[in-house]
Amino acid sequence: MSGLAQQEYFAGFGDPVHEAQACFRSLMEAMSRPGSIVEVDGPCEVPAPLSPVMASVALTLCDYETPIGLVGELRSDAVAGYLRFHTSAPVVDDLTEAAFVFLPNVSALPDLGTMRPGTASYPDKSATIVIDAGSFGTGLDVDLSGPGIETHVCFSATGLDAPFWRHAQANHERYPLGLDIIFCGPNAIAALPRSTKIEA
Amino acid sequence: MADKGDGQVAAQVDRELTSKEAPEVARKRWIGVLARADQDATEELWAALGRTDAYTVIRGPEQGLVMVRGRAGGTGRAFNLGEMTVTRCTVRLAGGAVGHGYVCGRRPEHAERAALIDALMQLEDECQVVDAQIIGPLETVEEKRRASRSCKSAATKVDFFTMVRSE
Repeated sequence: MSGLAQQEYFAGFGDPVHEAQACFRSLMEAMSRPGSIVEVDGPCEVPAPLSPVMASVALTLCDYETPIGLVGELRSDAVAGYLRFHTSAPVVDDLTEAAFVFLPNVSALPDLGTMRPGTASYPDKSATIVIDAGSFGTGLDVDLSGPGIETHVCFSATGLDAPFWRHAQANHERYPLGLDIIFCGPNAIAALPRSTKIEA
Repeated sequence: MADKGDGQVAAQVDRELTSKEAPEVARKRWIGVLARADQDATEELWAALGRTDAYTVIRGPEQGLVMVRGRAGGTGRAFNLGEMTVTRCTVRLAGGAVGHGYVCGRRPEHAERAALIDALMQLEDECQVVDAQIIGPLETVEEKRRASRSCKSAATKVDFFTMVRSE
């Protein structure tokens, strides 16, 4: 776009306050009703391979107190620069320091033990994983149950295979410690908090 | 007299070096000038330039607090002088050049204008005109203001040595 050798800049939210509030409302809805699919709009321009929905989640949740970990193709100068510029969050290499870990797909998921699960006194000091899941309703179906789900809910998304769900169930069994997961689709999100039980 | 002349030459050489060898140092100078300048003066000079550049706002204008730190006598340990409100803005011209503006106080329009001027200063064809018609005049005003303030405060300087009994 520009002939300058410096960082390329992308616009964030057009209306930062209201767009971040709307996204936060969607995240609340998704977290409180695990497995439900909630629509989210993204900013109009983002550096590839960051998806607009994932950018929206990052711009809503991250600030200077939440170190960000980037995995796989997301570990680029363009993405790190974009997130640093708009959220002021530090981008860290060591995932044990990260409050939010962003993944371009499920196959890039590192060992869940490398991310912080919180402590017994402060289980909230855990990491939240944000995964670009492609699309919802395709892939291996699992039954979710637990807080926020009346009986059970059927959930699936691209790339979520049996090994992933085994890891996710192991994560649930560490409750109240553990990681919370947010899945980003093309224009919606779904969440899998640590409190949700998973049955294949 | 001769001393003053040498100083001016040195300053000129210094400026040429900075603009050639370290663009970020030159940029620091004009962003600083824009940050300290009066909003009305900036707007007046901008209007006189008569430009209508298309641009996109990338971030802001947003307001926040920054901690101003100082050093006693310029050499002591850093201490927090106090917080001040700052408005910042980042814009991108249609051609891709990005400009940042930081101004004191709550002045979103001023920050946006400063960012736009910084973006224009990135363009090789435009920077000389913008420098001559906006940055230069603002710098002159600033130097005058600084000189007059130093002059006023110098007049109130108390020289304690004169208080020693002379008898």
